[in-house]
Amino acid sequence: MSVHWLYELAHSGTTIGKLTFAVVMVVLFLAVIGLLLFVIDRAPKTGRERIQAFLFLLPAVLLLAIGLIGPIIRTLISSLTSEEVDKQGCVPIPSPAACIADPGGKWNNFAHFRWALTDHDALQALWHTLLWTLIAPTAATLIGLAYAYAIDKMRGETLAKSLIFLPFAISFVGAAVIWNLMYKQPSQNAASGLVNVVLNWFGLGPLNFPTTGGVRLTLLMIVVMIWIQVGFATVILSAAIKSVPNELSEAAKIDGATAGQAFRRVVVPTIRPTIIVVVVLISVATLKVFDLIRTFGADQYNGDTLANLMYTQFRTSGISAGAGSPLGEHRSSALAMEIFVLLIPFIVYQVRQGIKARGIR
Amino acid sequence: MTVTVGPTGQTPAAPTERPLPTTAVGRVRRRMTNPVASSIAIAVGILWTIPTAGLLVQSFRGKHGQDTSGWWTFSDLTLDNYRRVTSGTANILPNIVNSIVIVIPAALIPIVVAAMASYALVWIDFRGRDWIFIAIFALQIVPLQVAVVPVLRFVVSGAHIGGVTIFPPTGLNGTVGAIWLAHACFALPLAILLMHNFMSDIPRDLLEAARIDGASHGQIFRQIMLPLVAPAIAAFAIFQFLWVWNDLFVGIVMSGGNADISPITVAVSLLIGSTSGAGAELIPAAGFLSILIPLLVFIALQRYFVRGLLAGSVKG
Repeated sequence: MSVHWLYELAHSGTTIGKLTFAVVMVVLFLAVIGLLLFVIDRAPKTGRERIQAFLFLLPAVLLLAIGLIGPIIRTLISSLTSEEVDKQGCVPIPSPAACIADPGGKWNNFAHFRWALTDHDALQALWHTLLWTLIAPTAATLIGLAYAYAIDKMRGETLAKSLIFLPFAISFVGAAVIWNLMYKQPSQNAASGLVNVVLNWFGLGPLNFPTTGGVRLTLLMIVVMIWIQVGFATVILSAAIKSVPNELSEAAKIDGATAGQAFRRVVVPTIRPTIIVVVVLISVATLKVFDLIRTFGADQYNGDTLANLMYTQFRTSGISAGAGSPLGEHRSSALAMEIFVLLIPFIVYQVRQGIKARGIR
Repeated sequence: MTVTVGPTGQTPAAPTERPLPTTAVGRVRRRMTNPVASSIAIAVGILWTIPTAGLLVQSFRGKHGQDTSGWWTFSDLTLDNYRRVTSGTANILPNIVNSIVIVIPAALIPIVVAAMASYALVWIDFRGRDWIFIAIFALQIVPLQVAVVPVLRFVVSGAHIGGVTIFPPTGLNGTVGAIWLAHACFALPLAILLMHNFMSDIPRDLLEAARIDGASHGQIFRQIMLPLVAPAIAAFAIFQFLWVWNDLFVGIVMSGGNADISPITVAVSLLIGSTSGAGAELIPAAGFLSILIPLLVFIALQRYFVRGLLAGSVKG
């Protein structure tokens, strides 16, 4: 069959094979798009605009349905239904169905959510996630705002901005490797990390990262997040500051303001919408943060967050690995929904911004 | 030289020279351009870069050096770590290839799909388009945690409602295709938003002139719109490249722990997990290799990346 060679290519283990598969799929995709554009041009006269709009939107709607909307519904259902229960030590002959004691899928009266809100580890994860979301965005935005104002119109402004923005280009995994080194605990076969050396100069003891656990571990990881996000805040707020018209600063002079007052009373209120956008975007990113906690291995030392716990629970479900417990999938769905619920205020904000942008009454 | 608009809305005939500042703010601003403030700002910038520099230096040091002294001593320099992570058992070059192979379709597909969708949302008037836009705008916030596992299930076993199969299994399970398909879907809301913002800025007259000349939507899209939004496409491409390359969550879930198809981020995170004793000296080199390409792309194409970031965050 002609599809067979494509399947073989997809599963190729060689570099050339993988590259060829990617290229082939892109070419196929562009061919489908070309076909779609062809059909758009030949749309019937009646209802032409509507049909064309539908066709233009079709690929996006399809991918969004498969990738986001369908999955959201599926996760919601999974978080609200009971898990499949298999018979222990059963041999799946003549079919896998023979080993199913309870096929699950029944409404379970929020059992998974009750677990998420009463289980000790899940509650710790929630507490840490809230700490992350309260501290990281505000700290990063404040530092970014101060820095953006300080370097505004300065010589070397571009260089300063580039340096502070650099960590944003590094993956969270890379950042975790970097800060593992910075925080490295001195021992028989490990040299002390730079942070511990500096602490030593001030007569303070080493950080005991990551074994220190709990709130302290969370705060140390939040430092890494701030290190990454300050550049993002600086770049956006710098553009906003530059858009404040000179007239407003002149008006402040007429009222006899100092530089600090001019900043607080003139610049900040003017760029308030942008400040809010920055805080929202960093908050959303922080609620979802998984890579840092995972790479630091913080879940072993009581530093877990909801996003990381969701993944660990998913791993126990064995969806792609084969053997596992279905309960893990439902619990991970409940945790995912918990993160989603925490994001609802931001979604509402986004919807309102969208309505304003489209000028809908 | 910026042209300022006066309080009554008129623009001056010619751009005015910046007068010597007499305002408090102006004096502070001038003071801000002095060498001391510049030095402090650059110092903060250097402070911000020290952690990354530390990793770079450490990656060139042998096990003995790493175990006994800090990287600032620059002792025990060797190329051995890089040799070992680019060949032999700890070779991560195949994972870099995986990342490249994942990034290409994951960047291209959303661009094309988003351009088409945005064109309809901006230039074709149809009922309900505002609500579709708002829905897509809000989807940006939805966390990946809610979507990834079902997408994995879809790739493995297709889509079913009740007992009816509406989509057969794609056969992409266990391949790189699963990863870039997921990324393509997840990137769509932001891609559509970026394209939408750029397309809204294009003057209506241009397109109406084309319509009067008898051009169809398909022709306008291909021949006028796409070339005009090339900056948006470039900005998004860089943004998506960095995002997909640096991603861990989607990669680790969709690859199911299969090392053959793991992108570089997954490979490095597994390296950290497994070698807490033997081979730990390789981690800085592996880590730096994983961030090298994004760093180079970022340094070379900063301007476009920032432009894309601003367009996606500030407007709309």
